[in-house]
Amino acid sequence: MKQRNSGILGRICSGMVIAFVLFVSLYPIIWVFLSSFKEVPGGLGLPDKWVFDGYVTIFTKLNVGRYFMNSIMIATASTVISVIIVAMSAYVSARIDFKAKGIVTAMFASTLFIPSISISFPIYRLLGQLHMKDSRAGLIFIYSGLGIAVTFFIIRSYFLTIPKEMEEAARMDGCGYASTFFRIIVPIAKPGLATAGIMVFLNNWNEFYFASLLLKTKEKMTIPALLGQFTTAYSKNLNGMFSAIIVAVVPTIIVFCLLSETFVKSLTAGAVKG
Amino acid sequence: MKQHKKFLTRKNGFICAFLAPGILLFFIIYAYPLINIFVTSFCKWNYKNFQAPEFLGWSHMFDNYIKIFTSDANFKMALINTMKWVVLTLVIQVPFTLIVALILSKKPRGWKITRNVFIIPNIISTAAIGLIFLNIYNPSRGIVTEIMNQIRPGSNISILANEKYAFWGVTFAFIFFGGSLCILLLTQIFSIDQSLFEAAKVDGANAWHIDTKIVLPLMRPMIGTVAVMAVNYALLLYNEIALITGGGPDNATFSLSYYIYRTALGSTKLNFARGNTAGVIQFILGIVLVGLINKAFRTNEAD
Repeated sequence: MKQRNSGILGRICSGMVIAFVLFVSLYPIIWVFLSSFKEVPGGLGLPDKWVFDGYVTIFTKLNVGRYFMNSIMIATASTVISVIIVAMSAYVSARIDFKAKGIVTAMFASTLFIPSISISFPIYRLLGQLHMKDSRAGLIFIYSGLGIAVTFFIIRSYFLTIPKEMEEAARMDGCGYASTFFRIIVPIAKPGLATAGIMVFLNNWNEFYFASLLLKTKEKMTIPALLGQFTTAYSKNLNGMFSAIIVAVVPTIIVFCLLSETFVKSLTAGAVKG
Repeated sequence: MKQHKKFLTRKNGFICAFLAPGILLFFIIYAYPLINIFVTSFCKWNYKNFQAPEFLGWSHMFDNYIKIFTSDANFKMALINTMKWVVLTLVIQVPFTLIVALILSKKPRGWKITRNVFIIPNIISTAAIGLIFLNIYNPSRGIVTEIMNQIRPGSNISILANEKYAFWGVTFAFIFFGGSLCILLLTQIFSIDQSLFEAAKVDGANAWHIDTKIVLPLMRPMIGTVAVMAVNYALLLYNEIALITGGGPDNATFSLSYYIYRTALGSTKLNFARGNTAGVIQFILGIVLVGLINKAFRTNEAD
């Protein structure tokens, strides 16, 4: 009897915690979503009259497609570069014996402890000297290097699971090191590379600090940098700001709903192995 | 023998070629800037001598550190706030996330949806989260003011204009968003050998006993990992501050990251040396905190 009572109590408690989690995670987005249709955004309850002015402004005057293109281009390019470079290093570190192997692995691991904001001023200055400050190429360059520690360990641990016989067989057939890597290892390691790639892409897609620091020309901005503009320039246009938030987050949420299992796998991969 | 030598040079060539891009990236994005902030933290360097930092001299080499700790109110505020946020993640975010993970691990109805909904604030851009909370706290039509006006009519509370409330305004914009930490904990719980639970149940243990006596001790290293990630986020907190409060009111919500930005890049003072000094302090603080947490959770043993 006592056992059952505590069971019911436990169930009520866990139900309350779940309700709380759903509430804190969803209400900000739902509130902004509902508010974006109001004549004067904000307040409680549903809109009295549903208006779409904000969305019309976003798609006609603000040319939001351009910012999405910038974001897609920058995040894709930096993800591809980062994954290729890290995969090459991770392969050497996972598979080939040489003297400085420990140092190379330690080098990648150490980047985990270097906060990007503490070192942002030298990077900012360096990009200035290279005339890449207000450029998409500069941002791609930085994003390629951010978060390489986690990517390195995800990919490396995947390489370690591939049986060595695969490479030995390829070597027998006269394959060189590089072609063994590109022809044999990369195709087998695709799931591991994809896991790392999704995580890198997500981080770069959402990155705000360097994007807002470097991009000053509006035409070059990514979605997060654009959102940053609203705190100052667009604060009068509340409808536009609320609509912009929704337009910015909805694609991410849709992709996540479609691929939630893949996302969950990517998000857990780094810490479980690293 | 000759064959072998040829083989060796080919191998070394391959190693060099494959490591070169990674090492280059490391040196440009991490090593050079890190060395740069260390060296310039011992220099005089501001807008007056933008091109050439000057060494302070051996007798005065720690001047930047002395000044930042003794006569810089903004830095003091930033350091205190950052430490408060670090402590808050440890006493609120990590336990809260752990409780949610333990509940979801029992797979109650809707656990997967809850898990996924919990992740949403972590996967959308923090710039969006920042803007959302900026509006939630808006004194004219924001939800907090509206609710307070229902409870106490005419109170017209303005979270972001009040020094004490603004700190909590920033805190609540991130403290409950532990979804990606939660899935790490969940994965770990699911990987525990089920036969342990069966054996415990046979011995008459209830859910509470299983959680506290079996699951939590086995989870210790992963809780440590999660604590490191959470603390790291709090230590580097920037986006929420830049978007919600802008460091205000009256610099009351400065964080270390925001201080670095404002001191070196985002103000008229442009005190690069001071900003880099704060960067060194942030870097060292991070290593110390990670070391302490690892020690507390003894994650080292797992290796």
